[in-house]
Amino acid sequence: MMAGKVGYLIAIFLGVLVLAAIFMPQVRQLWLNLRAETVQVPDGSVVETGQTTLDLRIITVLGKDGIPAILNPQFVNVAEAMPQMEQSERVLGVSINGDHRAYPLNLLSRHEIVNDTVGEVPVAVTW
Amino acid sequence: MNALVMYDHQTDTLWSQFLSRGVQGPLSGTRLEIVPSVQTTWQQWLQLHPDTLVPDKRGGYQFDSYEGYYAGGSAGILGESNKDDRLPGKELVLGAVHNDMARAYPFGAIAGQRVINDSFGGDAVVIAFDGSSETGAIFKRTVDGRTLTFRDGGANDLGVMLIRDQETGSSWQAFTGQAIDGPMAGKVLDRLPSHYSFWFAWSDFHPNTELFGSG
Repeated sequence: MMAGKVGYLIAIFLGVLVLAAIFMPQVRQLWLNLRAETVQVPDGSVVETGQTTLDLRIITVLGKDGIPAILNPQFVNVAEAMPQMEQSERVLGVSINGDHRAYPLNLLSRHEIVNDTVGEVPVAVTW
Repeated sequence: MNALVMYDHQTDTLWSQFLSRGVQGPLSGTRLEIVPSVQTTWQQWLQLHPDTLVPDKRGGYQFDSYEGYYAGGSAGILGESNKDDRLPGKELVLGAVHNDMARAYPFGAIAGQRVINDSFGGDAVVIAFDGSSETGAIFKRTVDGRTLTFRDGGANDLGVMLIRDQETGSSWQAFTGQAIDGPMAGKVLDRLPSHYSFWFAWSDFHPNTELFGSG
């Protein structure tokens, strides 16, 4: 009798685990959507009919600083950079007032934002 | 619609990277000025700017954590509000917003042409695109009141793409906009801010966008 009940409980427990595994992405999506906020912003491009607005849904997948931005980037010159860089490696290049900087995409992918000052202009390099 | 939203430490405003605008908080509605940038290979950039600085990787960052995202057909796409079927979602485009007009130049349509003389938002522009390094840039092609017509000028011996204007025969570096040879030597074309985007994001944030090559 007891063995039968335990068996049922184990079966139910396993069933719940399987269902949870199957529906986890949907549950997560639902949760994210419930917490999402919608803001209206002008769309920035126009057609003959005039400017339209966009409903921008702000969904928090990772919280603030979930991806750590770079606040004080340290730079090296070409001679020092060469051993760290592949020829075909992709970079985002910025030139301001004769100051040239190449931000490797593999670094940007890990940080999303580099706060920097280029040619005396404060910039955020975002990816 | 999905792309990075970021906050600033001083006011806690949320900013949309894609729209370059504050979207929630004290600075909501404020626009950030877009600084022109060029996405290219390290090799190309180094030829253009041998005195460049590079963030110190300190031996890390050998791989791009988004490789799977770039390649996957729909990986990472959530919440599209304006699915625009004119191109596949993950097709790359060179996108620009100029004088309130948005336009997308798909890599597939411009790689074969390399140089496109176009007009956009009331200005005559030239689009240069090198398919082998997937490097693209958009410039105004009116210099000192004179509108120039460009064609492919090949590459110099370092592999830097050149464009040549028909009117004066001058050679220009395609990705800095600087004339390096001929009567226009020393002149620099005005660059329009542009960036690469997947089509799904571009069409989502710019529902009124024009699509180059679609008539």
